[in-house]
Amino acid sequence: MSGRFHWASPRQLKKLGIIGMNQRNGSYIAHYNDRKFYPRVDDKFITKELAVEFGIRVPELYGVIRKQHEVRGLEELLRPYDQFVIKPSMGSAGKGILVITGRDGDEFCKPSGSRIKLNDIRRHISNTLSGLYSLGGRNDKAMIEYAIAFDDCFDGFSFQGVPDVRVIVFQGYPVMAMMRLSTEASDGKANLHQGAVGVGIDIVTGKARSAVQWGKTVTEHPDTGRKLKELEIPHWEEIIELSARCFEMTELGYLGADIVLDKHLGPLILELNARPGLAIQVANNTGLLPRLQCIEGLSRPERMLRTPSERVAFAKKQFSA
Amino acid sequence: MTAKIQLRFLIVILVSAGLGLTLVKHYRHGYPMVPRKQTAVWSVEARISFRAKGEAVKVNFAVPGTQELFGVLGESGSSQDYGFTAAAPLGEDEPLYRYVTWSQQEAKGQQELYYRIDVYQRPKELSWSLPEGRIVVDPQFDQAPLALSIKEVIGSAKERSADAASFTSQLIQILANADNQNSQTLLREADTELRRLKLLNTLINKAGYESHLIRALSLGDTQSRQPLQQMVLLVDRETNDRRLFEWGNPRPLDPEGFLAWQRGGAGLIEIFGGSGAKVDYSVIRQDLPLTFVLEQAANYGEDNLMNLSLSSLSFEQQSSFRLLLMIPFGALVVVIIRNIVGVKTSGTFMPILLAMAFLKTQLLTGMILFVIVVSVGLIMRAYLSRLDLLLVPRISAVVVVVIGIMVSFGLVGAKFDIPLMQSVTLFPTIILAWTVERLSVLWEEDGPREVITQTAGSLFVAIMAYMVMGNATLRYQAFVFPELLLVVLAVILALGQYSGYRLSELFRFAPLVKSAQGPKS
Repeated sequence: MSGRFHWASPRQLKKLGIIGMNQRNGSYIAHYNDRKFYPRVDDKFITKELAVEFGIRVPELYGVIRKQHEVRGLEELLRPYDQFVIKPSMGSAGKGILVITGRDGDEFCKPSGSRIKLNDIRRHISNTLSGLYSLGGRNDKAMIEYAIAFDDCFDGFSFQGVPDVRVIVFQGYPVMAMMRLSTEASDGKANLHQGAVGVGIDIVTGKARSAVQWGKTVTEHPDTGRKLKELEIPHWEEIIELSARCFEMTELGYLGADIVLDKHLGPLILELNARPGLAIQVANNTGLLPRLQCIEGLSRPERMLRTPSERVAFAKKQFSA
Repeated sequence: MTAKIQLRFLIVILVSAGLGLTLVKHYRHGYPMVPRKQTAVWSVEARISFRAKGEAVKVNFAVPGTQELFGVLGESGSSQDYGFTAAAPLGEDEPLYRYVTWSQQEAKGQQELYYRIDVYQRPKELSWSLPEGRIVVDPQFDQAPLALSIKEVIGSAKERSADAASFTSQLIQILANADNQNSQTLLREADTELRRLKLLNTLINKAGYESHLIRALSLGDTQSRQPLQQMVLLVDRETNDRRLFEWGNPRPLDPEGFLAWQRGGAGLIEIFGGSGAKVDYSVIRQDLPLTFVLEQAANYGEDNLMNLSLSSLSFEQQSSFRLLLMIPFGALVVVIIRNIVGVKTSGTFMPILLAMAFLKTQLLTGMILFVIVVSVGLIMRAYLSRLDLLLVPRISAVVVVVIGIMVSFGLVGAKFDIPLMQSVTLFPTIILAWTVERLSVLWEEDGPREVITQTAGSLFVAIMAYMVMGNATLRYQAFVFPELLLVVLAVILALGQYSGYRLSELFRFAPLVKSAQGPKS
């Protein structure tokens, strides 16, 4: 069975309503996502400011460093916090994220247990500002924000890294969701093409439907061996509504929302994506197209006048498994 | 919606403009679709010799006009001390024949004048309209004894013929028949070949067919001292068929291979102040590339459209345009492979630049060198990344490293005389450095797996682009018909609308189909 290549015919894929890269780019992203709104999601600092304005919960911003000379005030800025994260505003694929889990005298502790000095943090920030970790090497800002305290409910479902929930939001309607679990192969990162496990999540219940790694169906986590069927995401109602509210804030019609669960604060928007991938279809074992077309079939007032919770209710009714 | 309609409209316009211009050039102007097509070019030189009487001399000499089967590349007349008046320019509404004139205030003794014309065989597709001939019938043919004989001869020839060609054959046979009373009557007056042909021409025209008297030169291989042949050209306007008839030969000759030097029966040469004129013709045949010949013809002014051609540029500019014109085809390959096949490449157009380097180094050499240089570059870059350099210094450092690799390759290649290593200099340095940089960033962010996938993808696209861009026929066509770029643009625009699955997605999403078909298996 493995080893042999399996090909599907375009007709079979069409029948299942699977959307391809060309269609996603041409009919959805180009059509529903206005380029001028891209900075709202590409620059995490703008995302955070907008989210605060719109009352959408995000990890709290402790401070932002825009210029090299501001690095001198770092010690003052960090004084109240023991735990924090420093990340580039326009970083890609988790590059340049420094997590500090505690202090030990003058030193700061990293999750791995190693310690660094304030000067190391300063150098990290300088590099961030000069674009070392950013898309295209552009000058960037360094954001210092709340370090998420991960919920224990995902113990055993993830290897090292941060499990997050990706929801595709189309015109404000959550249409499909998956959870991304990092593995040893993915080096603790939650990127599917690096070997993370994608678990399709039922929009109604927040329970696992099916899971894939490397494009193949899996039933248990490759490192921990936990049955993925048992995965059930708490606070699902809140998560799904949070994702739906990102539409008004970004005005992007085709959006991927990445949400994490904090032990104390509940669901928080970690970042947004204007070009969410298509692997979610494989994780859910379902094509996106019928759901997108269902939303496209709505009348304008139906789309414009509904509140986020009404949209969630509609999605739940329509897209139950 | 309107954008979609606009785009379709644009595509239709681009395709029809591009293809239309190409087809016009091909059919109307004879530009061949395939390269290296040769055509015969004849240089015909007429030498006129005569004896001058020692007074003012003027020579009128009939020269070829617009030809159906031959194009004119140039003409000139030369002779010491004579003033030369060139013939009227060639054109659609020129007279039936043209003259060149030599003149001198005073000349004595043996004189020699030269006229030279270069003609080429036109491509078959071309057809030039022949001006209607105005034949003036000698009034004696309408009078008693001759008119009767003419009627009889035409009648019997018509009885035994079906069309113009068979009629003429019959006519020639009857006239050649020494026992035929009517022939004898008609031929009594016709004592020269010219007069006999005039008679034949008159008979044909009286029978209601169209024919012209012409003097033609047979263009075969190189030969000297050839006479002009006097013949009758039979024209069938309905079938656009032309036949040549000689006196006494009932078989028609194919007009191909004959240059019609003069049409109509007027004198070939008129000399004032001289006598004993003699004209010799010599023919030199050469085979030259058709496109070159057509450019020459364009420069001569036969055809103004072609003066805009790229061939009018200097040779150096031409060769850079030849490469430049292939880039759109490379871009088309990239679009097809990325958007239809779904191969991941590093950088959108890096494969095209790579293919251009391959065109210079040869494919295998280029690939080996590329892999080696990039691998060495990646190792060096891996070390540089540990030094936490900023972006611009980092890329600059990679450029220096890549140039270092190239120089050492060149040196080692020269030292041990390995041509493979020497051709490394043909790679664009900045592209290599940039590729190394990109791939190493990719390595850090997405791991070696992605680097290998994208490098292999880039190489695959580069090889495909190389094969398309290196195709001799396509290179030729893009250069001679640069308007084909509009067609390429239209195809790219059309592909930009493609929203179907990529080939790779048929594989990527296959598990969904499998589980949908049989969840139990």
